[in-house]
Amino acid sequence: MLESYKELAQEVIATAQKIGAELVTVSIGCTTSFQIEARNQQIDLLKEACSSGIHLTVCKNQRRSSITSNDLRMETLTPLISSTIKTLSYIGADKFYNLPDPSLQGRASADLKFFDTDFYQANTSEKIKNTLLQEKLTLDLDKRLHTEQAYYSDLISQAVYADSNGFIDGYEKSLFTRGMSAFVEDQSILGQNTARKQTDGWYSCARFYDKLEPLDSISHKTCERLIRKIGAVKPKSQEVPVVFSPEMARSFIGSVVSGMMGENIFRKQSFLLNRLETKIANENLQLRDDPLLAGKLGSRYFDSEGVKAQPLTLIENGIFQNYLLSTYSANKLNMKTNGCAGGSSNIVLEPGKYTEEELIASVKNGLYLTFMSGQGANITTGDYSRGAQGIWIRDGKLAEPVSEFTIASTFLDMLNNITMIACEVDERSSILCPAVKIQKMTVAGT
Amino acid sequence: MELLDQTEIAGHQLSANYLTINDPTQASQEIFKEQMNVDDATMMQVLNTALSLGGDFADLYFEYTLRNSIILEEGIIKNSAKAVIMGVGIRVIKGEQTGYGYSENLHIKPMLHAARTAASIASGSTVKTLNGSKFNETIPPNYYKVLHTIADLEITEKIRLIQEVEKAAHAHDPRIIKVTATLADSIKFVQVASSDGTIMRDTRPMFRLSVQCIAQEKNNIQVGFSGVGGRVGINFLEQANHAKIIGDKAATQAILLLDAQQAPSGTMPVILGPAQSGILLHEAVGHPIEADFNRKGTSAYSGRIGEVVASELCTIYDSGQIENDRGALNVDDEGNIPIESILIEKGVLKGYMHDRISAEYFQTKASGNGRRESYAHYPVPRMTTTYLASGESDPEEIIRSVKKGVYCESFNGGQVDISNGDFVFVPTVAYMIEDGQKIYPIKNFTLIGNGPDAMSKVTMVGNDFAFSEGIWTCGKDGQSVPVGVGLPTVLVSELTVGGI
Repeated sequence: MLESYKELAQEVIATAQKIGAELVTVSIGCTTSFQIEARNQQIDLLKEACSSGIHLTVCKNQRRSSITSNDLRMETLTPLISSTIKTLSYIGADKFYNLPDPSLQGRASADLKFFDTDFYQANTSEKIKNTLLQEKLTLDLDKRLHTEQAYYSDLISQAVYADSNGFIDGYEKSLFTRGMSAFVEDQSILGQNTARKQTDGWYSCARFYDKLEPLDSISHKTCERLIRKIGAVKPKSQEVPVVFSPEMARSFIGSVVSGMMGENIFRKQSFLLNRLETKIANENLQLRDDPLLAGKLGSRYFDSEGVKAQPLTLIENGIFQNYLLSTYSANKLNMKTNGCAGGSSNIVLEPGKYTEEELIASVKNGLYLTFMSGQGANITTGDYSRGAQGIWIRDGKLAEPVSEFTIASTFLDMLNNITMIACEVDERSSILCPAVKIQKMTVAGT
Repeated sequence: MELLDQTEIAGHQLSANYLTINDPTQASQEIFKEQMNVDDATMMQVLNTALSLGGDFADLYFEYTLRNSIILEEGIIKNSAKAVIMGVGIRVIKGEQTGYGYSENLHIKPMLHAARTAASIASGSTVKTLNGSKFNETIPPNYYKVLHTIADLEITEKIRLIQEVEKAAHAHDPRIIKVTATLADSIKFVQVASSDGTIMRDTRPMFRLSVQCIAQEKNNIQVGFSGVGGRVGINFLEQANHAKIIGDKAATQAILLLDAQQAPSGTMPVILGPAQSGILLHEAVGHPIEADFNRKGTSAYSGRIGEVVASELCTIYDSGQIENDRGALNVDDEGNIPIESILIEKGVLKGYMHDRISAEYFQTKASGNGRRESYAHYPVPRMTTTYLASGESDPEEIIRSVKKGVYCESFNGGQVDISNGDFVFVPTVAYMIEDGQKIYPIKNFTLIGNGPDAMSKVTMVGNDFAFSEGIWTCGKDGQSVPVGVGLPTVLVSELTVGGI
């Protein structure tokens, strides 16, 4: 498949050049996916498909346009390319747009291990059997549990990137996911909410099938996370320390990293504008982008412009070291690309020396945060206000569940107030994060 | 978690040879039958294959979408994009079970392959087959009468429009330092053929003009956003100077926020201004009464039909029949004609929003809420345009009635937890109210409440009903669909305001 995509990419580039394009970039991808959802010991959904698509950009006299299509036939693409090139004269000249310096392009020399060669061995009936077993194991743990869904999915993606510099390369990745989502009845004593439920669950995902978390472990985590939510109350408004679970820390760090993207910096849409080489976080905090970690979800050999991947320091001892730059954003900022076109790869928050339990134990009165909602992370102004759920911490121990409140602060205060970092990293994302303790945030409840 | 927001979904789009949509049904037939040679006999063969292992029901969802967009940033037309997306989704239902496959190629072999994949959900001894040689077609009413679509517009005219947006924003105030304007249009041709022998067709135009402004004063940087759109045509652009209006509105918002103060924190009365505040309904009521959640029993409203779930001042509808609205639909993505559903009548829960599976489960009629993002997705119950009927109160009187509270005018979006009913929404423009008057703008906060609880605390409903501009995109199960909302001014006697 990769070879035929490479041929198509070259044909598209040649065609576009013949019609008059000076710069051309092409990415072609195909994803084959399989998905099961089960409930009440029955398959609710079985879905299988293969989808492909092409995205190309053509540029002439610094004017560019792009085309997306899932019809990969040249008889469709050629007229599209031709009509697009004809309208380029209406586009404004953008002197900052260019392809990367060819000397920066290439494949990093590493074995990133993101394709499970046993992929095609996986057997449908075993996947179904395991998904049904996932549900049964969970429900057997506690009779209060009901199923929302037990699920399994896998996919293979194949992609090729090529440009008129002559760069052409591709890769194959596999991804497996299994999980469980359940609910319990939880009548609220407050107001009109007489049919309240609580939902929670757990999942595992990995590039290799045999790296998936065992079924019973997923069931136990689902049950534990759900039962501890029963009887949630609304907390009092106050200022307290907040321990972010690894998943919540991931969400926060993800927003911080958007603020570091060159695209947001040159658009002045970042609270980190003009803060390079200044202290933006607690001195115990180290953050980097590392594309070369074997088997991790964000790993890559080259970025979305074919620039060879390399690790990049983002925060060192609390000091902001680098933006994440593509050729375009680097040109806008009069800097050089650092291989981050298309966004970050693996973001690594350096684990600390404490356990998550020690973080909780260090809090006399505060919050263990397990869920956030809403669009209240404003990376332009740096303000942070989100809907929240969690467990209240009393005298260093998890006490009652809490919900229907908000937590608020600013990004910079939060970064500077990260006083403890745990050592257990959640690897189910390209943002590799342990739990963190933020010394002070505003809780708005009753 | 169900999300509603107005952030730009990768705004590409098309130019097309399919210029006018006098007849949405015929335009769709032209594409699939005449141009792609998908005739009745082919579709019947695919459906019979889909049912060959004993499914109860099967349908084919054909889609052909053309999208165009242009973006103006830093004073130049920076990029234009086109997209052409086509495919067929094949679904087999057996009881509550779904088998799904799709193909991006409309030739018989790949379609039969996808049909066999979908068929495998069922294993029954009775196999249905379609009789007859032709599908029965019903022509639905047309809620987006569009003579000339925005795709018809010359590119020079589109460029003039977004330049006007930019000009209006900069003219508003020299502290506006960046303006990004986007014009996006699309046409989606849809055809749904079902194993009950019916076929439905639709052609859906969509347009959106939006702008983001950045205002700067020393180190204080604020963002303003505005947009308009819907299932409209060129005549929409002639009705008002939308370009100037939204450029000015986004700039006004960004400048206002430069002087805004931090919001308070704690529980207090909240006034929701008309139109955009309709996202309250979308989150607090709409999602939790989509029937899939209730069929599975996961919603805070499950089993509560006939019960009081809101203040008696609340009568709430969902309708695909709001002409030219972003949420309008002639026919849903399962071939059902959307009705105007009354969800809550004077505080009493009347019914859920259904797709085919849930309607069958609850032994009721499908309400035309079965929607999907594309051929690659199976349909689920989704809102169309959700709104609260006008009340009796004078909006000025509502403001005067509040001693200390918050007034919200526009929003970034919202989100809800279906099971426990907690919802949030994030205001962009809001004011502090003291002694019955708006006294200063406030910024950067989230509102949180609990659906059934908050709706029971609606103590005043204004007589100033309005639909929001067509800018909202709703996300559920990884699928995005356009929706509409509407609301008059509403007072909620108590919500939690999450300032610092």
